[in-house]
Amino acid sequence: MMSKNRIDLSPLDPTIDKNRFDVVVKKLTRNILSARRISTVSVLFGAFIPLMATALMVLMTAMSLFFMYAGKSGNSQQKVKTLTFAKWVQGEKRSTVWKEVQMIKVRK
Amino acid sequence: MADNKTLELVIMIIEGDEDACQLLVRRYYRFCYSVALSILKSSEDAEDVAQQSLFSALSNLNKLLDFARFRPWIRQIVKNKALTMLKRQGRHTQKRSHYHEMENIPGKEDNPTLKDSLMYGLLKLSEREREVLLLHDMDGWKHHQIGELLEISETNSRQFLFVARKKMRRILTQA
Repeated sequence: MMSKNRIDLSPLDPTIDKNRFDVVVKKLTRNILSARRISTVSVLFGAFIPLMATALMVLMTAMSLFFMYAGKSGNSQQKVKTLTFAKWVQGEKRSTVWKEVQMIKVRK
Repeated sequence: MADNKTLELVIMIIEGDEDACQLLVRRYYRFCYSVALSILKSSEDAEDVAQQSLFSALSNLNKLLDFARFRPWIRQIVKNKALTMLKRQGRHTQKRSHYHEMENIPGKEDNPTLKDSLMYGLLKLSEREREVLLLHDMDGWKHHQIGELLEISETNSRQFLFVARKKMRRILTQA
């Protein structure tokens, strides 16, 4: 209930014109919702891109370590003759496998 | 600070509810406008600031750490935007006295409308008096809510309203 002492400020009230107010509210709500959608998408992409870049870097490092020359160790010449690349997977030394790979390259 | 309904709406908006967004805009539109009008001297500017503030606040709702402090948070956004607008318009001075600017404001014409007279009266009040008057008489706030928001006592809020109404009545009867 309106107090009798209250100053009537209704001419300044922007919500008095109901039709106009409805239009304003609808437009404002639409803008807010689209801005919220955009910000959600950008947050997702913002997290996704660095994550992918990190994953790619880890993969590249792993690959470069895998194919890096491991140096000589043991009687490698002998091992090259008998080992295959698949044996590395079974637990053979990386240096031995490297030799195997080198041999294949020379043959080609 | 924020009532349960507001809290509920804020959470629903974060979860992506579109109707909740519209309800919150409706609920806070007049509040934002009142706060803006207590700083600016044009109702059109105040409405612009209210819309900008609502847009900015609700699209960045995730940045609000404590949902219970929604009201003070949005009030601060409105105040900042209103002050920025004042600065941009080159009207803002540190110790501004509206009494020295009466020649340029609405309500001084020969046949002022009621809206102009109200604006003229509002501009004669202090910023705090204007804010209390607008929140109480336009947006229907209670004194304890105003006190909580403006960090003043309930008695202080009553005092500000009493003085503001007295000044307004005097101005409006003269107009």
